[in-house]
Amino acid sequence: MSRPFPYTFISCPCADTPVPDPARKRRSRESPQKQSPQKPAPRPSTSEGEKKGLAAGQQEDEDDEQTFDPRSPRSDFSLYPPEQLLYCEECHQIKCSRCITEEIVSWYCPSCLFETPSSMVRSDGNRCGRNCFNCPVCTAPLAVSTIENATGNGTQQGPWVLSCGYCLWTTLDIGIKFDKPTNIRSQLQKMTDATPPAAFDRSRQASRTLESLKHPLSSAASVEEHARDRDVDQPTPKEDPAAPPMSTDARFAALKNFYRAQIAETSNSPNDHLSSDFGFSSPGALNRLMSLYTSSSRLGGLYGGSKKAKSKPPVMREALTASEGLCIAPKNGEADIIARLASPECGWEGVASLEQRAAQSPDARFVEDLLPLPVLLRTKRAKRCKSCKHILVKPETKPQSTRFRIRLIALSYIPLPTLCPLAFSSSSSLPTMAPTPDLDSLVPLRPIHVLLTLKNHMFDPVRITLATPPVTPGRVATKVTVLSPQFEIGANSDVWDEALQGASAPLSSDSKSAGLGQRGVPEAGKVWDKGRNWTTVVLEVVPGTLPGSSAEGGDGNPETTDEDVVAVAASKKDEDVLEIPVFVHMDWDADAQLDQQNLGKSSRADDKVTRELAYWMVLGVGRIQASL
Amino acid sequence: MPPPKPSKSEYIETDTGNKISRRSQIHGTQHIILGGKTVIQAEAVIRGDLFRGASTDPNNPSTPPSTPSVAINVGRYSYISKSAVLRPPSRLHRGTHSFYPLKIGDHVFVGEGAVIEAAQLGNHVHVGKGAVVGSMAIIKDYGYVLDGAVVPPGMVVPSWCVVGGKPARIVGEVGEGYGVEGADGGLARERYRAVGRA
Amino acid sequence: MATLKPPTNTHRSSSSGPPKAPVKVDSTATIADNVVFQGPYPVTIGAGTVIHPRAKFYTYEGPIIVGDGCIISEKAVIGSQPPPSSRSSSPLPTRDGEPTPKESTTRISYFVTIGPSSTIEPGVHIHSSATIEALATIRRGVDIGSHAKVCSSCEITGRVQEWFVVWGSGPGMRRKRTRGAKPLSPAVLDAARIAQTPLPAPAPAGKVIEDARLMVLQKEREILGRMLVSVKKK
Repeated sequence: MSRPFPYTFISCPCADTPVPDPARKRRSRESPQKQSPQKPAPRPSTSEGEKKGLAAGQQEDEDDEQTFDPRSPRSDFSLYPPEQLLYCEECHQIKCSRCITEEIVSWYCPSCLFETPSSMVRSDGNRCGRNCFNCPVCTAPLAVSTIENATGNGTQQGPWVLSCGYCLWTTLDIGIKFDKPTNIRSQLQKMTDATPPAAFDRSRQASRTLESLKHPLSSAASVEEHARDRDVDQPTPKEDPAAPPMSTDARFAALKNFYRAQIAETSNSPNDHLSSDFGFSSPGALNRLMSLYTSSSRLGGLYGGSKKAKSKPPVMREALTASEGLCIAPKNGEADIIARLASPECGWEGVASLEQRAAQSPDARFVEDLLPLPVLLRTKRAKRCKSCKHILVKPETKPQSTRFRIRLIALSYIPLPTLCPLAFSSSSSLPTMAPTPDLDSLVPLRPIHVLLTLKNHMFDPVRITLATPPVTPGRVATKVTVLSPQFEIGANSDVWDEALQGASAPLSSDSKSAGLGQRGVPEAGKVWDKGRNWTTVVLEVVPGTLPGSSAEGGDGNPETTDEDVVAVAASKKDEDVLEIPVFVHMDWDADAQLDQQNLGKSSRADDKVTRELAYWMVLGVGRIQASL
Repeated sequence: MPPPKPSKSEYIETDTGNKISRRSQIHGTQHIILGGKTVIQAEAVIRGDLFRGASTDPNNPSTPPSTPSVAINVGRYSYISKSAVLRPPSRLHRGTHSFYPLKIGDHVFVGEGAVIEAAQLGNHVHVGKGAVVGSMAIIKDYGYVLDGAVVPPGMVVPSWCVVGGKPARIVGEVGEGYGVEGADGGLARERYRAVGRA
Repeated sequence: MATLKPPTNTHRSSSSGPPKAPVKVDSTATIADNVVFQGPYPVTIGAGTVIHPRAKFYTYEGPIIVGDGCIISEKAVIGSQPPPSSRSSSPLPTRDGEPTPKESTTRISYFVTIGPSSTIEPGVHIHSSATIEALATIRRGVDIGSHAKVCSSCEITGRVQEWFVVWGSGPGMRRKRTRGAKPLSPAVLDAARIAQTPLPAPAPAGKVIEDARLMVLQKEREILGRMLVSVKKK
C-alpha cells in the first residue's frame, strides 16, 4: 500500500546496517546474547551472536557517520509504517515482521468465520469443510441458492446450486446440483472423489492411514504387502486389464504407496519412518542415499547400513501397472485437446486460464473442468521476538474477536510521528493564510515548513533529540533544518483520561490553523507547539532541483524541454520523491522496579533508570516538480 | 449543477456533531440514524428511502410500522466522502423482496465515489476511493478495502484483512497497531475535526 | 398511455441554465425526484421502468430510449454532458476532431439493470436483460448483447456478445454464461465410473438461473415502484 503524502515510516533497526545505538554501551546489564537482537542478522545464526556483540562496539564509530538513505534498496526492507512495528520489552528494541517468529493460534474460515480445530485442518486440506466455496472462474465467494426460487413459490426446497454473484458462474455450468443446502463440501466430495464415500467420513479421514489412501478397486494388494511386509519378495507386477482409470488423487496415492514400498525394500535401515507420511523427507531417506554411495566404507556402518553393507544395494523399479499409479498418456490425447480447443463451442472463453488452473487438478484444461474451490483457511497468529522468545502479540483465539491478550506495539513505546505542511512562507514576510503547498508538486528551491508532531504514549516524559543530514542523500539535494532539534514530550496520562477527554489529542491541522494566528514565524530553537503528551517542531525544507531540470543552477530558466523531464523520470524512478531521513534519539527515566536485574547498576538513586532508544525514521514530504 | 465552490458554511453541524454537507444528497432522512460526529461530504448519495417493511407483500399490506424502520445506521466518527453512494442491500427471501438495513460502525471511512451496498461495515473499516462493496457483503472490524476494489456480493472480509482487486480477494493484513488513535486507521477524530475548516 | 411532458427547451440562453430534455414517460414507470434530464433531444421511458434519484440523462448528442422494466440506479449517467465550451453553441459537439454522427440514439432495451454511478455514453445500445454494474463505463457506440453482464468498474470499449460476462479489471476477462443443460463435470463422471456409483441426476439447464434472476428483478421493480412513489407522496 503506497501512502499519500505526507507519510512517516520508521526504520526497524534490524536492517543489516547496524543502527548507531549509543544506548548499547550503557546497557551493561545486557549480555552479548541480549545484544544480538539489536542487529539480527539476515542469516539467523545464533552462534554468531557473541561475535556480533563484540563487533558492534568496534563498528559503532563508523556507524555514527552513516546516514540512513531511504533510497537505498536495502531500506525497502527496513521501513515500516509505524503501526506495523512491535516492541520487545526484553530486548528494548523495535521489532518488525522480520525480527519475529509466528505461531498459529487458530485456524478459521474467512467466509463463515468458524474456527477449524487443528486436528481437522489437515484432513480438510486447509480448506473450509462446510459450505464455503470460491468461484473457480473469478474467486468470488459462491452462495448456496435454490433453483426453486426461480418459480417464486419460495418453499426453500431443492435442488440447490452454488452460484457466483459476481461472474454468474453456477454449478449448473458443470452440470452439478445438490440435493440439500448443507454439507455441500461432502456432497461435492462424494460426487468427485473416486475413493468410496466412507473415506470422507471425518473421523476416519482425520486418521487416514495407508489403507484408506489405497484405492479400493485397484487390486493393489502388492502395495499393501510392500508396506506391511517388507521381507516378502517383490511380487511380479501383473497387468490388470480390468483396472479402471483412477482419478488424479487416487493415482497420486497409489504412486506414493508404491514408491514408499520401493524405498522400504531397497533401504538398508528398515526402521526408518516408513509408516509416516513423510517417508521421503525423513532421515531414513538420507540414510538410504548415504548407503548407496558408501556401501563398503565405514560411513556405511556409521549410518546403520552394516547389515547389507557387503551386498549389492537393491535397485528401485518404476511403477509398471495402473494399480501402481502408472498412467499412460492416451494415444490421441494432445490431438483431441487441440481439436477441442479449436472447436467453435469451446473458443477462447472455454479454455481455463493459468490462474484458474493453478488451483485445480492438473487435468483441468477447460472451463468445464473447473470445480468449486473450498475456501482456504486463514490463521490467527501469535508473534514472538526471534531473539528472546518473548511473546509480543497474542490474539484471542476466537475468529470473530479483535482483541489481544498481549499486544506490544511499537506505538506504545516510541512517539507516534505525524507530519503536516505549514502554509507557504517566504523569507521576508510572515506566513500568511496562503494555501498549504501542494505536496505532489513541490517547487524546487522554494523553502517550505513542515510540522512534525511527536506524540508520546508512555507514562514517562521523554527527551527527544532529532538529527537530520543537512542535505538529503541522493542526487536531489534537499536542504533540511530541524529548527528545534532537542525537546521534551510530556507523559501520557491514564488511558481513561484520554478517552474521556477525547478531543485533547494533538491535531496537526488544529495546531496549524491555530498556530497561524498566534505563533507567527517559526523560530530556531523553539518548539512550535506543545500539548500534554505531544510536541510539534518545525522543519525547514528547501527542496532540491531534479537533475536535468531547468531549475538546476538556480537561474530559473523556465524552458524545460519535455525530453529533460522524461529523462529525469526515466533516470531513476521516484527520484523526485522528497523523503527526509531523521534520526531520533529518545531517553527517559523508567521505573526501575520493572527491571529487577538493573537495580544495582541503576544510574540514579530514586529507583529510576535512564533508558534510551534510537532509530531512524523517514518523512515522506512530497514530490518535487521538475521545473520551477 | 451548482458551482463547486466550497463555502465556509458548506457543512451543517447537528446537535450530535454530525457535519453534513449542504450539497449531500440524502433521501429518506427519517430512516437514517447517524451516531454523531459523522461527516457526509458533498454529492454523497444516502438512500434512507430504501427501508425494510414498506408493504413487502402486495396481497398482505403490512401494518404501518409504529417506528420508522432503519435503513442506514452510521456510527460515530464515520466519514462518507464526496460522491459516495450508500444504498441498503436487497434480496429475495421466501418469495418476498425486501431491503435490509445497512449498518456502518464507528470510525469508518468511505472513500470518494465508493458504492456501498453492504449489509455491514464494522468499526474502523476503510473503504478506498472508487471501491464497490457488493450487495449483502460484510466487512468486519478493521477490514481494509483498497482503492478501486470490487468486493463481490455476499463476501465476508474478516477483521484486520486487506482486500483488493476485481473481484476482491484477501491480499494481506494490516499491522497490529492499525486503528491506534492517531496512526493509520485511527485518524477518524482528526478527519472529523478538519472538516469545515477552510 | 404516455404522459407527455411539454418540452421546455425553448431557449438555450445561458441565463436560464441547461435545457430540460422533453421526457415521454409511460404511466406505469416510476421516476424518482431529482432525476436530471438535460439536452435538446427527447428521453423515452417504457412501462414499469424504475429510475432512482440522482440518475442523469443528457441528450445533447441524440435521443435516449429506455425500454420496459429497466432499473436505472442513482448517479448513473446516460449520455454525456457537452464540453463547457460548446454548451452554449452547438448541441452536436465534435470530439477529438472526429466528427460524431449527426444524431446517436442511446437505446436501453427491456429488463436492463444499470448500477449506481455507472456511465453509459451516447450511441450505446444495451440489449434486453443485460446488467451494467456499479461504476462501469460503456464507451460510445458500444453494443451490449442480451443477458450480458458488465461487472463493477469495467470499462467497455468494444462489443459484448449476448450471454457474456465481462469481469475483472481494465478491459476485463470474458466468460460465456450457460444457457442450456451442461454435461456433468469430467471429475464427476470419472469418479462415478471408478466408484461404480450411479451418476447424479442431470441438473437443469443454466437458463433457470437467469429466469430466477429476472424474477428477482421483477420483484425488486415492484417494491421499488411502491417505495419511490410512497416517498414522493410524503
